[in-house]
Amino acid sequence: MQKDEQVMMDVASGDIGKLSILFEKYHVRLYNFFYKMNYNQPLSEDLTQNVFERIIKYKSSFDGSNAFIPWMFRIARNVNADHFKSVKIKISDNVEVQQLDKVEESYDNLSDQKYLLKCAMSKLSDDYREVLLMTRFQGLKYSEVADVLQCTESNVKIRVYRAIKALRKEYSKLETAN
Amino acid sequence: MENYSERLIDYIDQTLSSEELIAIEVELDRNPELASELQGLKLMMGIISEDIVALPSDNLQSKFDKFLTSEIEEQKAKEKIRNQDTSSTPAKTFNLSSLYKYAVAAAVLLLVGVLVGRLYTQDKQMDKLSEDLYAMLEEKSTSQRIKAVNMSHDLEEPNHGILDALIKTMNTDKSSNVRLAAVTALEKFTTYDKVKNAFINSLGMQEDPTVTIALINILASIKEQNAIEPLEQLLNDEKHMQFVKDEAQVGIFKLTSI
Repeated sequence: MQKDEQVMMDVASGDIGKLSILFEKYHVRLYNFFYKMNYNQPLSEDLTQNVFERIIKYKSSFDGSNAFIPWMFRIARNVNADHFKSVKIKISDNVEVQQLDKVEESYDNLSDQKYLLKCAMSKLSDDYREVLLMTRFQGLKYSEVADVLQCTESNVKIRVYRAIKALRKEYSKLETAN
Repeated sequence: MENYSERLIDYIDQTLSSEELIAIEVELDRNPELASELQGLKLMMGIISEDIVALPSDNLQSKFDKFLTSEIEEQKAKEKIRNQDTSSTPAKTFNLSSLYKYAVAAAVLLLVGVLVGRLYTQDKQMDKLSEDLYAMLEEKSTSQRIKAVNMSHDLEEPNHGILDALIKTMNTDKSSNVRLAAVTALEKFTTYDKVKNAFINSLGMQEDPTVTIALINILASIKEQNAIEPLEQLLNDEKHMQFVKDEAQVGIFKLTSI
């Protein structure tokens, strides 16, 4: 199997049909990244699509010297930031935990634990949610996340530690309330 | 290790060196608060690891397939045009070293002829593109109309027909996504008065906040002084939401603080 970087280089040099290989491999991961940032299915699908459209638009900026995954997630972060910058709406500003059962009917069948996790995640700051999604949910290496966030690996580790601690706090609060 | 708490994740992930591992285990035995924090983190990471993967609907796959097919077709069409250009371009090699003055004059005339011919061909191609653009902008599908608008991104110098088509789309298309795409496409041509004026006039027509904010940002970035008054009017217009008015206020500030 070709490496992602080689496939992307082929796309960059004009063989754009090969983008379907990268879509097949990463669209669910990207969708989950967006979905767990905004908890909106159609929006997350649109944003995932936007990532692949931008990959084509900026394909010539990929020169193979960097790893593909961090490059793709940088685009994903920009897509997310651009969207929310334009509409000035953030899930954490608008969705109260008490209202989540109304917002997310599809979560009816979730166990209490998963429901509480979702609610607790929605209470975190975007920065914390983002770093947790990339490291613990998407399984990116600390070095890859450092590349995405343009910071050091130890900085990522500290952010992850603080994010999990904040998540634990929110989770416990919700557990007590229920 | 200076801060044991911040290394607890590495401890759970088992990525510490043997020296660090011993140091943290000694500290965990000695420090019940740290041990309790470790239990809390372990519990939370366990819950995270059991989280479900959300699956997108089939729409995502079909939208991507349509997008890729259309990109491939567009690429093929561009390739075809490029090949036609190459095969129809007249030979441009001239050997001037041994030409007499009449021969030089003839060569100059030939060159002028070729340039005029190319300009004529470019004009014809522009007219054709402008016609195609109008036709595609009538498409029912939003994505096809966005695609039509995006065709203009490759143009360095548009003709008036293309600008008119984009301006009409910016002001009248029923989809805010298409209107926004038209604004983005026109941003490249703000050196044209026609485009600047269209942006200013469009401020009063748009109802979607995304499109209005895009217009405000562009007018502020190009320091368009004629936009100040319409922006002030926007501040008093009840149909706009507060965050749009905030953007307008920032725009006015940028334009008046030169």
